[in-house]
Amino acid sequence: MTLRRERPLDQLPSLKLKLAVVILAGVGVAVFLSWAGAHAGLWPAVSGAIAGTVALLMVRFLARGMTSPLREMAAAADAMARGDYGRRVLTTSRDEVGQLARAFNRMAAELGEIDRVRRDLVANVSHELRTPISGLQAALENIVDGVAEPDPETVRTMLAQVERLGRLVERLLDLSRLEAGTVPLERRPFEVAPMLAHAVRDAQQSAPDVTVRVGVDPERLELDADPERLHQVVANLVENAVRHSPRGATVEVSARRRRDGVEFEVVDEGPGIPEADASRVFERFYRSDTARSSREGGAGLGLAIARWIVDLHSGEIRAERHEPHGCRMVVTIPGAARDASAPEHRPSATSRALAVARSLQEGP
Amino acid sequence: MTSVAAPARTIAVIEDETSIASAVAARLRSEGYTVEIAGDGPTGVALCERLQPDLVVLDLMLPGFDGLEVCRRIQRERPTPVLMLTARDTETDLVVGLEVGADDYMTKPFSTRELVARVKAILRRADRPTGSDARPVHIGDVELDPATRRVVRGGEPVHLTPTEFDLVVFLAGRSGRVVTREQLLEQVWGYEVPSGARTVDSHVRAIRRKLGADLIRTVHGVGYAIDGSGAP
Repeated sequence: MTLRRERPLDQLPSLKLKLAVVILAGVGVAVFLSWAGAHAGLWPAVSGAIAGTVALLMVRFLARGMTSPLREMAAAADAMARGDYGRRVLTTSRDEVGQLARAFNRMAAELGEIDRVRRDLVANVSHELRTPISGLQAALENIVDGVAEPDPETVRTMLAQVERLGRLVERLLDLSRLEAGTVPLERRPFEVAPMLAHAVRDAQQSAPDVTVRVGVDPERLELDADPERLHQVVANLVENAVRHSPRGATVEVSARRRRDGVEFEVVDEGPGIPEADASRVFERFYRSDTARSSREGGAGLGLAIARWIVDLHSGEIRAERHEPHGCRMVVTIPGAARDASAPEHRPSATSRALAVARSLQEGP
Repeated sequence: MTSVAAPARTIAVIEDETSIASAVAARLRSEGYTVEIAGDGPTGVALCERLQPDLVVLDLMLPGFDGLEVCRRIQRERPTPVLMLTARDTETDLVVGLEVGADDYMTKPFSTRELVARVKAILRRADRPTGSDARPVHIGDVELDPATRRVVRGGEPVHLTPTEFDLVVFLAGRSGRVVTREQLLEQVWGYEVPSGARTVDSHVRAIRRKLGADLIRTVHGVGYAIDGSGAP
């Protein structure tokens, strides 16, 4: 209310209109006062001076609030250059300056968010690097100081740490390439079952005590998408599921044809994801239990990479609870999907063998 | 320093990264300590109950419950020196400043050589004779008794960690004089480390939280001082 009183032209929707009103009012007041002065028999110089002064005051009053957002924006931009993204421009006007101020505020919020993500990234990367480096440094110091022998077992442990560092760097590069959009998709029709089997085999190596079952419906399902990238998505999802599975548990991986593409599903029997975090799991470095998963080498990048690849395919990825316990990851990839075992094809022995858990579709 | 015939000191290493835990344990064993390892919070607490160690090397991030909780629980049982391992620089205050009572901390990646030096220093401090001639120290409404290591503020008992206690007593013993961070590290901690200044600052913050903000005076650019201490 007070603002509106201080800024009389706030409601006008365009800057041109405001300027027109200001000029008309100024000129009108000046003309009227000059005329009135002449009528009252004042000297032209005196009535001119009075008219000019009043007109200027009038303009000053009407134009109030027209340029202050611009000054605020300049100040806020300076603050941003110094790294302070918290400033916002106050504006109530509806003209182009107001629009600019609102866009400016949106930009400031966006930049602030990017800055926060960047800071988190640096903090998390350094944190992820510290652990394997600690292990390596301790082991190497022990060898150098004669505390431990460089026996095969010790060296193997050290190699595992180096491999973990390598994986982390590789994933970081992958993610930055994906985010920069420099990775073109290489779409081609491919059979889903062998891709799934391969991805599962890669991911399962880290946890031989978890059973992974694969089901494809129809058996010889074919999809037009980037097989290398989808392999990465499935491998990351399965790796994540396996990592959160208790010993002896089962992870179910399935793919089935939908009207406009293929739906992949990975279901585990782990602790599941808290509902509030369901949308955050695809952020970089998100981890439900920061301590536990770091041990198995999950740096919290796998799901973020999966999300980027799914986004590139214009698909969807989501995480939900699987009753009674566990987590269900669902990926939908749009694209031409067909059954390759249609009359001109013969089903191969391998894909038949891979279609194990088709009962999944009916569910428990 | 310690006599040769002294029984081996026991150390519990609670760390979920097996590579770090086993390397640290090997290093400590080579120095003559008896070492046992636990891989998560609950087993760590159980290990301390069983082992009654002289010192605990504790990782901050553990499965089950974290290092802070472990620290709280073992301190409740019996005051035990704790050397905390952290993975972030920003966790100093969390580790040292809170009332969980870690005596020292190291940020990963750390050198096991330095770890051994710190372990020795902490144990030396814990061994320090309480001294029969040491009389209670009074600073305002705070009273510290070096013989029993008890602290009372305004009639209420306050829990200080061994390091915090030594720090206050050391400053109080030089009433009115300014002591530099380096001197404090050397005299109270028993070693000098590059990141030591921050360790001192964190401990001072913790003491202020427990005993009042005006007990220790900061002398900017120099160090710390306690004024007006003495026997009644």
